[in-house]
Amino acid sequence: MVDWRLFEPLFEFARKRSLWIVSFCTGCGGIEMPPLMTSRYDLERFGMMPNPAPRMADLFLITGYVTPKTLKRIIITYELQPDPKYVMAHGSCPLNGGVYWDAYNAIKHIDKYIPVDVIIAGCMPRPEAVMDGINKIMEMIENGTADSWKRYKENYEWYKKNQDELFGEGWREREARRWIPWLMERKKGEE
Amino acid sequence: MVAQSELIKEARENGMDLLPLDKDTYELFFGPQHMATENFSIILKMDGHRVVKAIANPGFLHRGFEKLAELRPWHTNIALLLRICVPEPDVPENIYSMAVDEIIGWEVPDRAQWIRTTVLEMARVSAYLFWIMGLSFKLGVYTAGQWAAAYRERLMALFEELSGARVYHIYTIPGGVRRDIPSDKWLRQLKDTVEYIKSKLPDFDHLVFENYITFKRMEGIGVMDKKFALAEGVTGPNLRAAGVAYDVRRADPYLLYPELDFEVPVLGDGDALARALVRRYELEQDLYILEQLLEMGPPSGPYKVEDPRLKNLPRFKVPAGDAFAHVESTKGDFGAYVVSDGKNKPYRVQIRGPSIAHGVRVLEQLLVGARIADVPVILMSLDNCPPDIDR
Amino acid sequence: MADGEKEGGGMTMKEQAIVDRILKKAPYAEGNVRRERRIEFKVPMERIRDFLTLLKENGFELMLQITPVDWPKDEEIELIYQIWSITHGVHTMVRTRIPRDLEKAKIPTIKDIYPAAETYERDAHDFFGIYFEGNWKMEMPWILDDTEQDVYPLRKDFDMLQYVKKKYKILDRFDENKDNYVI
Repeated sequence: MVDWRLFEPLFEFARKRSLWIVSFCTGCGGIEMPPLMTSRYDLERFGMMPNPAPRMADLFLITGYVTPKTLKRIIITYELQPDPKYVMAHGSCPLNGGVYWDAYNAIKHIDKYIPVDVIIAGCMPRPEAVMDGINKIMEMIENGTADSWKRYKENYEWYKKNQDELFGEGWREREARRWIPWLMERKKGEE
Repeated sequence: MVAQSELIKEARENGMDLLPLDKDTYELFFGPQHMATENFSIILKMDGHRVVKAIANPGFLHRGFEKLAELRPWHTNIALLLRICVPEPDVPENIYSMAVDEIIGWEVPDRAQWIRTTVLEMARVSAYLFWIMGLSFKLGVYTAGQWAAAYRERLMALFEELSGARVYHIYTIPGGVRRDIPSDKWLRQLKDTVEYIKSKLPDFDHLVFENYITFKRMEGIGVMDKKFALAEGVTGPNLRAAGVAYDVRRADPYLLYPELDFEVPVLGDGDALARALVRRYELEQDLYILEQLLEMGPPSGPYKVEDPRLKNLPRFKVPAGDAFAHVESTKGDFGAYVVSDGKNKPYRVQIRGPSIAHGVRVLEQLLVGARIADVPVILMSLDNCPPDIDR
Repeated sequence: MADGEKEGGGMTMKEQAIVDRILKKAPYAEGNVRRERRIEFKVPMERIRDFLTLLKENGFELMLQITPVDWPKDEEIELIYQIWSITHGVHTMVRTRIPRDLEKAKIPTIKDIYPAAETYERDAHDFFGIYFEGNWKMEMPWILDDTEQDVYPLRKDFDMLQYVKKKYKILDRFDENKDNYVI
């Protein structure tokens, strides 16, 4: 029998050289993603490219501030990704609220709801700063310390408790069925 | 082989059956996690691959700007409000400053007006290049998108030297601008950049705007006629492609536009191809305006109003009154309405983004009958910017 | 306050002519000229539909925005309808006032005169609690999420810092002993 754990360094080398990104541009910082991926600060030389399907992606970029409505979709997309998966947050808004520290609709501390590996400072961070963060993630993958997905699985009750406190119990079913009454045919006098 | 009725029963027991909508249609979330929409969602009711009904679902980027602006002093709001329109952040700075200038009633010096006009035009050119990049990526012509992103980087480097940041330049304040132009070398670099971009426009035509594939994909899709566009409050290039010649720079002139010579392109078809071509013509006109401004050169003088009140910014008070100011951005008519009651914080600030008119009702009506592959093309041809709707 | 009427000079004669022509057909309204290309009217709440129909027939085509402004001292909410006229080249503000109380803040809808107003009315309802009678999209979810549906955040009596503290339980730049904070 082959012991696959002997091949771990090879797997980690392969993983860090071909991280695929889920294309979800969650906030302000999404404006610096196209310059990052195109020819000036080329990101494809590291093997990274954006991919629409979460089932085939490794890295999740939370670019900027997060509102509760977006956070629901982030959690659903994050849980659709297969292990191992990494999360990187951009900017000062996911860290402590940033410019919107007293807004009723911006999440102040994202580590309570989704585990994060690396946070990049700035408002908004330059493409060179984002590359620095990506280098750090690649180092962490090689060392084996990029274990946010293990943290999520082990402390799932704590994360679930925070999410339910913010959204209310049973939020997934409510979100999925919310628009059905508005899509049905309307009666004649109500247009 | 398991019988189908058994499978249906098992699905119903576990709550996993599909709720049928009427007459064999299904619900599709064209949701925020998508490469074509920028954190904006459309709920579609589909019949096969055709759309029967669409509902726009904004609200993913809502931060409550209008309430936050009432809690911060007048000049701090510049650093906050410019995050409303992400591709063109100079536009909200300018409309807020123009409205506050009108309430106070002071005259902005000539040099500051020249600088404000140049910055607005540079923002328009970089926003049009960003739009060309988005359109190319959706049509599949990836080469033109890479070119557009690269040329936009030259303008970002110029902005960085002028104001210190690539994207969010906190530069225009009520009373003028915060810093002067760095040197004459900056003006020469701007002139070279404008000439360079102008010489590359035929390449874009060859790949995107005179391409048979673009015509096939965009002609006859998402047609708006003149009466419909006026009734729905559409402004900007979308309205000019439907046949109405309304440009704020000509109709309600502000800054240095009365002295500049430019054309306002108007096409009559109103479909997605006409909207794309209007934007291409306007990019050319904007480069021509920048050439004229550079030939005029900045007039000498102060770049800020010399007023002792500007020395103590947290206690800066504005007399009571209200004003409305609007500016032509690449998306449409961007307006701000500011009310003051004499204190050091605003009483009410309202920002009207152009996408609230064409991103919600017009989109829902244009998508009826379209195929699923036409939905991103219509969305991009309307140039929808979700943070305008949500504020 | 910015200057009211600009006396003399040909700068505002066109706007004065437009104001006079509209006021002749609608004697219940008041109007004046703010400056070049800015005019405003003041209309009582019951006649708002007739006035806007009159404006639409006289060349005021684009409805730009409906702005509610909350005046808690007068116990009223002022609604401002902002309209741009392409044929005349002027911007108009039509002002009207409605009572501020949540049960009494109702006004008929104008979405059959200007269809764009449907979206603006949904906006005003979600943030201020004004009910527009006849617009069936009042209950449709717009920008705010389910938890903020009946909160009406832009009213002047909504205390945002306490709400944020209760909802997120973390607000590290707020000092409870001060009642005015400098940012």
